[in-house]
Amino acid sequence: MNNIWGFLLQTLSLSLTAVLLLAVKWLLADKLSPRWQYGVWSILALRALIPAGTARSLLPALPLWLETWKGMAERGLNSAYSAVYQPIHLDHVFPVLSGRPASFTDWLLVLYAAGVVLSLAWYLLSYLRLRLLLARGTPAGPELQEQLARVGERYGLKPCRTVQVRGLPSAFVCGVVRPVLAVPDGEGVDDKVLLHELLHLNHHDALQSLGWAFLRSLHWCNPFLWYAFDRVGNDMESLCDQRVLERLEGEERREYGKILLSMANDRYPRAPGTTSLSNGGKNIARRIAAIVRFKKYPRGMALVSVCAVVVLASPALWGTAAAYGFSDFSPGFIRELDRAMAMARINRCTTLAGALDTYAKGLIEANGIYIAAASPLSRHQELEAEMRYSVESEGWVAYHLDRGPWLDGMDKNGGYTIYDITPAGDGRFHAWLEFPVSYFLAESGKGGVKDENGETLRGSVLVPVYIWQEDGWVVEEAGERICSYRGYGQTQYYGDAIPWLRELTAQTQWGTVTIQNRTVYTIDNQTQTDSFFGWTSFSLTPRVDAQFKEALTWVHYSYSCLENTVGHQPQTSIGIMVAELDDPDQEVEFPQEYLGGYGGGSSSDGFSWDSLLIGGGDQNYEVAGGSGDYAHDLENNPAPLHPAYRVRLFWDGEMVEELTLTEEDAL
Amino acid sequence: MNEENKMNLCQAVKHIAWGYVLLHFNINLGPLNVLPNWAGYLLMVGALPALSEEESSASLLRPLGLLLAGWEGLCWAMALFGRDPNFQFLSALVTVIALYFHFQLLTDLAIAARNHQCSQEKRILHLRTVQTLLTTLLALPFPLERYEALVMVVSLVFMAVAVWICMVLFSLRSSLQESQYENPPPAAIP
Repeated sequence: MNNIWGFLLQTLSLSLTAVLLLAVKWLLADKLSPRWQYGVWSILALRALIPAGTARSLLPALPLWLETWKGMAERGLNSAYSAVYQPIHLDHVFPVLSGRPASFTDWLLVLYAAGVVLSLAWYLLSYLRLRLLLARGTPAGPELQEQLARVGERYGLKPCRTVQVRGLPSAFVCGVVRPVLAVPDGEGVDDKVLLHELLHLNHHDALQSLGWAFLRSLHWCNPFLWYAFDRVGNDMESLCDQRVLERLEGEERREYGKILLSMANDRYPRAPGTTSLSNGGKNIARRIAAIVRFKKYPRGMALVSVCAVVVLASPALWGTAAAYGFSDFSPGFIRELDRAMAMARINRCTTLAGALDTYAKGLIEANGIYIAAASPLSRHQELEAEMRYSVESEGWVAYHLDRGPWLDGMDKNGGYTIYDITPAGDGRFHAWLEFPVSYFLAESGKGGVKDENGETLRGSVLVPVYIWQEDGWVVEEAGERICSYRGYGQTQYYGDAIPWLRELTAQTQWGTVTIQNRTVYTIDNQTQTDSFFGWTSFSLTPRVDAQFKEALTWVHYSYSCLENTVGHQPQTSIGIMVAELDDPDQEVEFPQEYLGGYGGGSSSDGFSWDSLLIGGGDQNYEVAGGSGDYAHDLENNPAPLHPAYRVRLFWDGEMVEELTLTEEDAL
Repeated sequence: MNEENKMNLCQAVKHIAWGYVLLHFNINLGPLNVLPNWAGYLLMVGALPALSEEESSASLLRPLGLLLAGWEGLCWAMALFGRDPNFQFLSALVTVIALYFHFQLLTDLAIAARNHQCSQEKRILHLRTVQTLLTTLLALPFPLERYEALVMVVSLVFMAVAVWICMVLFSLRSSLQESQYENPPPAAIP
């Protein structure tokens, strides 16, 4: 974490996980065993080590609140560690100071980092003091050695080096690499106490205690987590009690409870890497309650115990994405702009389709928040300034952003179309967005552009865009917008407004063959507006995680025989048949269609054909047609184009030539 | 177990079976679900005292059942007013509680079936395991909605398990009723 906001996000996410676990543990206290009660804390440990994210959270509103507060607090601070328009981000969970502090929030991170270091130093010091104390102890006498060996042998546990220390209130194990069992000098130690400590030793509880102490240091300034970590320690002791009880029988169990009770007022070691039978009166009361339940836990709960941990781990570790709605994206008043911009910073587009959908709807709705969600973060300051200007100077709603050239006559309910996504180098893609417009605003700013008859021209506007991935998928306009006076959606069939995605051509002795491609992408934007009749309409709410429903690859083919070199012209008809190839050398069997008349068709296996009658006054020596096929499951990739086409040319119903057009024939 | 207890157990199994019907099947009249889940949980909670005569751990389920009924009641009321109960944090809590509740309840029913030599014991245990695993799988962060075929398969399996649970519980009730009339009560409960 590089700034105090990262720490706040991490510690609050961890606190939420602790709240969830404590609530579940409270509800299942008498239903699942101490083994589960301690084991479920592993989710807390994992949560503590995994950096919290802003896109998903156990409580999705939390990152948005923090990001909003950060934006408001940092605006006037000029901090060295955090920036207004960079969302909170954690690479890891340890504090890192990346320069000299420059603001109040920077100093808070310094204070926090110093606290972590001091806390770790304090733990180290207390551990060293304890080891020094043990170093002054005397090695276990033969009687104690014998007792330890007996207990170890009876329960199949391996003892460790043991020392007797005068004045110790109770036995404990200290150390991870070379553990030492410390027992009070001059007092007899009960077998059950030794059993408890040997079980700690054999289950590496001292190492776990060290890990929990480290996490406690990372969250030294969060008192709620201190409480949670205390509960973790107590559950570890409860589990050890459970293990002891599983090995004892009848009266021994009752005696063990009495030993615990007798320690309620004893002091106990608090150093990390240490485990002790005694851990304070309150905790012992909880452990006694768990011991009372020892035989009452329902049996055969292994499966549900594991499943419950998995079910809890899923939201705690993976989180849930916030479901932002129209109101989140559309602040009416300037006071709501901070929150909306924070939302645009953390609610980034997760797919290529999502970025295009969000940007396109931003243009349709003239909504700067939509645009910001699909724009690079480096543009956010400029976008926010424009929105503030429009609300303060022009009286617009807070989200308003001018659409830019030619889009004033936008037909909002007409939706938009995506054309020709294609790689543009450096991991970027180029695409065209088409919007229907009912008029083109004249340069004078008054009225629409009119044709020679004085009729207002309508059509569509094509916006070139680049799309790439940085902190999510982002969109930026890639040049001048183009006006098309053809009807909306006609761009698919013509190459005059924007160039074809690919154009292959071949000149033969029988004339010229051209094959042109266009790709059209569809995102399912239909939303149900009436549950009874099932009416749907175009949804104007952006979908940052949208997927392409399908992509149509349109093939437009044409054959002109006018400029042939065979020395004569066809008498009755010309025709063309096209086969899509996956490989230029692919063998294909053309359908037996007669191409000596007038008409065309296509087959589902990738063949299409057209023919034209020649004659009469209107001599036409060019035949053209088109067909399309759909691609699905594109994810973040452009629709694939066929690498080659096999073409047959017909004169007067007879095939005159067969040729293959490949990408080498591209214009 | 005396005859009265056995009759109570038959009634309890019937209530639990109807509870599962209410839980697993919904008939919506607009926003109103006429087979509300909260009513299903209340039926189950009402059946717990009789079931705990067979297996004492069933009594532990009462607070959980009431909690689940309360949660389902809240969701039901919110749906009536066209609101989506979008409390992710509480949902995680409720999913775990429901997972435990059904696992323990079906375990206790299987024990009751075994105590009365009813053949449904094994089937109840198998259904319990399948239902627990399915609920856990669905809680995993996997974008299931993107795979229509998989959604269909999981929905069908879930529906089959739901129908099967109801059928097995109704048949357990019939078996208990038959054994009530055919066999004299055992001299002592082991």
